[in-house]
Amino acid sequence: MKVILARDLQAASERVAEANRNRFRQHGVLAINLMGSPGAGKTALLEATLPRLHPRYGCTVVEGDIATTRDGERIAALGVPVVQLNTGGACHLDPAMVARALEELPGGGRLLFVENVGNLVCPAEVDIGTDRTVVVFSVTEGPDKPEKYPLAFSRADAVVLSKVDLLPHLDLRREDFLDVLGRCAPAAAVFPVSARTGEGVDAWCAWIEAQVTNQYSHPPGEG
Amino acid sequence: MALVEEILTACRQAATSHGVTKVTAVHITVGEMAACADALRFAWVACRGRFPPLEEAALDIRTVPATWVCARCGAEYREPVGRCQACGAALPRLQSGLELRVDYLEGDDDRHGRASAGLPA
Repeated sequence: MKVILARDLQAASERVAEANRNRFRQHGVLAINLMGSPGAGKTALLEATLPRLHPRYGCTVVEGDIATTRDGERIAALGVPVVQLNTGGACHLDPAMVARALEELPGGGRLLFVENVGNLVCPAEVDIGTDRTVVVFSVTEGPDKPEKYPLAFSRADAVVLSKVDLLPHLDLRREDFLDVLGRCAPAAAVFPVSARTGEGVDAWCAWIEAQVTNQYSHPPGEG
Repeated sequence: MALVEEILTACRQAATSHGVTKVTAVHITVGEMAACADALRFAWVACRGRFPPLEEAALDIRTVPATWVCARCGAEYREPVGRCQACGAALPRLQSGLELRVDYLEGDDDRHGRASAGLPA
């Protein structure tokens, strides 16, 4: 016999994203979805960011990878609670995976970073319920990428232009990147950063702090 | 994988309420951008045994290609583009490719034995 289900899981996925968002609200957490190509420097950016923000805000991290726990181990080495998600082949995190990871993380933190799978197409299309979207874009990827992956950039609240310490070795100037980002990510705050030298990390962290303040003008627990 | 859990739950409910004792195939529709079909197949084989009637159920996946469509002139693209190459409008949007649907299952029920025809698709 044939049993018709016609069950839409996409709508279910949107409901789970909404539930994640509500959960962040209730707990006074600001959740940041970190996207970027493989090797853009997402984990290195977190390694530069967490030591500054973790003592003040209490950070937690969800690491998304197709396989391996290497990124999760790098975060755990900083003493920051982390859950590693292996998507088993899927090219992006879905909201149910994030919901599952949240179960494993301790409460009390005010900043959650979700490092998405290295990919600029699918993660941009799938809402996982986070409050801010940040694209990490390294100078070695070349300035054509924002035009090739327009959605990720157009939806970004901030773009971190990473590995700027390598610019002297490239035939490209910082302005080449800033020009293209001005066109493809006009609404995004842009932060040229080198996780290696620490350049620009202060401005990037100040932006995150401002986002927490904007989202929650009161301290956690008062409302 | 979370998605396979959802499919299993949907199938379990449907099979139970229709008295299906052995599911032979589960038919789903998956957008190219929604999930990786190979990963789904892998996770399906790993997880289906949790509900015994699904133990030997094949997963039949109908894949929907991702398309982006210009809101102004309707031009279609198979990959994301910043501007419509036909009319210049900004950012054609994803129109298909995010589908995720459990369509139907086939199986044997305890009263009538195997009969996959007879019901509308």
